[in-house]
Amino acid sequence: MPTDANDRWFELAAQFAVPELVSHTFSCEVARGQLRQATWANSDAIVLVDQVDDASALAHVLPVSVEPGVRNSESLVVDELESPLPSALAIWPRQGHWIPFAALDNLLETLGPTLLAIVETAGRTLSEPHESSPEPGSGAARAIDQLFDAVGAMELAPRFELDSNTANSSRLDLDLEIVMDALGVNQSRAMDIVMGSEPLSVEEAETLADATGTSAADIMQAVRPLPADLCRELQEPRWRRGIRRRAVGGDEAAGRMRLGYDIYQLAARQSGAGRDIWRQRLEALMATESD
Amino acid sequence: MRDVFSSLIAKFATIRARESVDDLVQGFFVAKGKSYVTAVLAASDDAAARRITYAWATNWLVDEARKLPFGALRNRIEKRLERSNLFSPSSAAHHWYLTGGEDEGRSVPVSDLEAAAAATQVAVRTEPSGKVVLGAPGELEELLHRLLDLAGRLHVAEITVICGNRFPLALQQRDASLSVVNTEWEVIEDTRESDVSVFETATRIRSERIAAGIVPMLTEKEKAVIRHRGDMDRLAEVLACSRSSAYTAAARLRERLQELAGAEPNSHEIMTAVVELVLDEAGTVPSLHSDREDERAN
Repeated sequence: MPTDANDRWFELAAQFAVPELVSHTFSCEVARGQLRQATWANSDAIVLVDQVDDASALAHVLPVSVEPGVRNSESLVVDELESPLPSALAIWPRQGHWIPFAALDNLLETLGPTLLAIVETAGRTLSEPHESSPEPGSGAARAIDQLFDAVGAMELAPRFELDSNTANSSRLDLDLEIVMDALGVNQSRAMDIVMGSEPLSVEEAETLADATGTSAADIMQAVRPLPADLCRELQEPRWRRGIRRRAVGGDEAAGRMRLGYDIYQLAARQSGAGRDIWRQRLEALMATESD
Repeated sequence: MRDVFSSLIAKFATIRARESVDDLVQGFFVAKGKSYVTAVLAASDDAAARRITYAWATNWLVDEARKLPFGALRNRIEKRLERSNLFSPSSAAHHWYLTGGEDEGRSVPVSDLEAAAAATQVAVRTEPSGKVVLGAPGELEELLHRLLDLAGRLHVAEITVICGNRFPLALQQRDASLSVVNTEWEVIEDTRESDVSVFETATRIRSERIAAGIVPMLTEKEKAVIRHRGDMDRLAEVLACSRSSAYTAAARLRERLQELAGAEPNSHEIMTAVVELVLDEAGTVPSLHSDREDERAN
């Protein structure tokens, strides 16, 4: 928001009794019935999580609009009194998409079982159109197009893939001093590189190859893949803030990997694995960071 | 918020002439305020809040612009085109071209047409009766002549909206029959029901015009992504890359199109038009393809 919008903001806050929408606790996993903000590649939408494929970190989501008048003959309208958000909702039960968790963000609210059942029924049966569609080219028609387009674009967010580098990597037999000199890094990072717990860019691997006579491919191979449980845990939207802080130029896939190796290195001297342990470690790290 | 509206109404000249930014902001909040607060509070970050604000404000401004009396202005301009022997009706319905010239459209950037309109001298005055008089004799014809000289032929709706942006006064009153281009004209029946269709037609043509300028800027790889974006396996095959690289390429293309069309209020329509033009190029409609190539070559 531009700076002078802040004044407007405070005026609004007084006018509308602005609700606390976004919960910043780490407790919520992606689940059916959640209304979440979703964002990917400059597209934004509110979505209703309809089904979850937990192993693949995919959610089947329905587009939702809170904008007045943005509805058509295919939408199901939850009026303001029934809505868990402070506005009426229009939901499109037949415009569902499977999108990666990587596109999901803040949890806003959760729909109750009664409403969910209605949405589900509306998705299966073709009811009589009860709303007329907005005129083509009108603001509402444009908003619907933009919403569908945004949710469609979210299918392109990076999907959960286990690290393909499963070759049995061995520790690099390199002198710590040489690594520090060649890459201009401190001893701690040099140690992580030698231990294979620090990802290297192709350029860094080539520089190191020139200085040591080891092939760049061998150096890249020596980086140990992140544990599967950690990779999966990193797909959860609750870590997205930490990922964004590490995303250079908006590259969240790289930011996610960076966060993964940050945690992996911190855990080097700890025992225990499994998603719960990784989650606790991530929570501890996030608690030390602020926006 | 004022910033958002200030930058947006540069694209809505007709509205800019009628209402102050503060009035517009207030109008927007009256219509959308509460839900807008919900949407912005839900946003992931400041950048997302900004995108949401732009999208909501633009769609609201489009609705405001659609309410303007373009239909009456179109009638004025159509009459003026009919009465002058400088202009001839095209074989394509509702299009006009210069008498003696070729009845053929050219791909001209919208900005060139707007610049030509802005550069033409047209005196605007309001009579005591409230009538708005646009132009001394011959001045409007000069403007129309310059537009058609650039574009080859134009749809009357596109001319109307270009003129509406050039002389927002002509749309000042809801009863546009009061604003006459030449006081010697008889009063023509107002046709309000066509206001929206004039605006819509002009917007569609404008999107296609901008899209035609974007297509030559795309690489062959980007065009391939457009052609196969519905089928990731096929796209990966065409690009000779992995499925996940194909997803990345599709996401990049989307960002690139947003970059190219994003500054326009109707960026979504422009992107759709770009996709259609590229699909046409693929050879499914060869005649259209060659037509467009000719247009671009001119």
